[in-house]
Amino acid sequence: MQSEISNDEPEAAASAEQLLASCAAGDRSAFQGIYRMFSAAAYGLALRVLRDDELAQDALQEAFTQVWTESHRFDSERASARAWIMTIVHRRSVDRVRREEADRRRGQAWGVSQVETPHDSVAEVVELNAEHRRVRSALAALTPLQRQALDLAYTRGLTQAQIAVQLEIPLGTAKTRLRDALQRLRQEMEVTA
Amino acid sequence: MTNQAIDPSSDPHDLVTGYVLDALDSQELQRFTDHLGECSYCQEAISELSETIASYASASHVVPPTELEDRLMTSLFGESLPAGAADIKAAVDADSAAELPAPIPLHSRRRWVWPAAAAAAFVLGAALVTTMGIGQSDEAQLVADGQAQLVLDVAAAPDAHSMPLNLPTGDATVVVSAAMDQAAVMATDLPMPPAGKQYHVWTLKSDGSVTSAGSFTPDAAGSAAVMLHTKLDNATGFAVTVDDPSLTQPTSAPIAAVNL
Repeated sequence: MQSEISNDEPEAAASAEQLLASCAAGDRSAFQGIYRMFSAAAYGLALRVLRDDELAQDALQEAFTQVWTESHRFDSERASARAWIMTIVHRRSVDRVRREEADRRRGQAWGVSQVETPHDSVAEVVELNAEHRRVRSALAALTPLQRQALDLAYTRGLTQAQIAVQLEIPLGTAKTRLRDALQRLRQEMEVTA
Repeated sequence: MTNQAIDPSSDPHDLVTGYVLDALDSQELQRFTDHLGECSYCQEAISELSETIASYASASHVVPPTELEDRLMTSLFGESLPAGAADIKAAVDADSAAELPAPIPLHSRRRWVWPAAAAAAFVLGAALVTTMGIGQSDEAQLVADGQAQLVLDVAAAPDAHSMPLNLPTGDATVVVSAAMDQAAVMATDLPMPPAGKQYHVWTLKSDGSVTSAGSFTPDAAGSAAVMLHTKLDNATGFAVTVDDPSLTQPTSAPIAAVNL
């Protein structure tokens, strides 16, 4: 049984795509299915970015509302249901973070000391299954600077320009670092796929 | 590189990475989306990178409070559950009723000792699993990223206390930190619940009441690391049922329970 399910579940993935198609046709229970399938991953991501229950729940509600209203725009030839949904969740979460940025206290909560801590939050991934191990070993192949840049962009919601300022590096360097980080992550994950 | 005019980053193709990471400012975003419509190279690059990022994004799971689903459905549809789902719920209730004629009166029990649990475990075991190796708890090799960070924070609390949950199949542990007033469940090798059902965790209060602490579905490999939505004051134990995540009171016997 373990070997049957150690890789991504093609069946679950296929049904998620079908559910999104049903959502586009107005099927509410299909939407509930989508919510139940992805809400835990989505909430985990929103919490990771927002670090606040209420904000994360607001972001989640916005994101799934968008999933429902824009389900007709989902194109299974361009993305998996998971990638499409998680993209929306991340965008809503980052939007929230940036709106909250005006809040000085939050800015301080996200303070520099946290960024500079040797504790490398990107490198630490829950090693609970094959996919998590895959992500984790892929992250291990990145340089510490690449992991830091990825973390600042994806988890902290900084723009490339803000990362350049924060790290006191030229914008071009920040962009290159992020591009290399992502390419490396992709290559590593393809190798172990 | 200080000259913006020759900065290679002014090439819109170079904004792909920032785009998929949501790390463009609004000007860059506008420039890139204008470009994207006519560039199949960038469209292709986005669809490849998005899958990589999706894996990274869903590395771990936290179950949102059940009220959020109600709130979402109500805001979209004006009712807490879509019609189709209501049918599913009715079927689930009918199912539970068939298996267990009378819901266990949780509030009448002071301790998590349920004679029905073994029978329920047998039923579920037969329904869910055939033969899975029940590994001794390997302590779910936990490391954390942001979301599981929360679970880890609880596990790493100075007063963290962990208790095994004796599920019929799989290894599960409840970790509690009184100082943090939080609890989490970590599990491996869990079988998938039947369609429409999830693992539902319940908090037993000292006043005899039972409240939902959230529900979860394990990932493809049968693992889960979830924060429980519960306060610990007045909590005397936890129990797990397999049922509809929208339930606010259990309708089936627990498959596992633990006293605090």
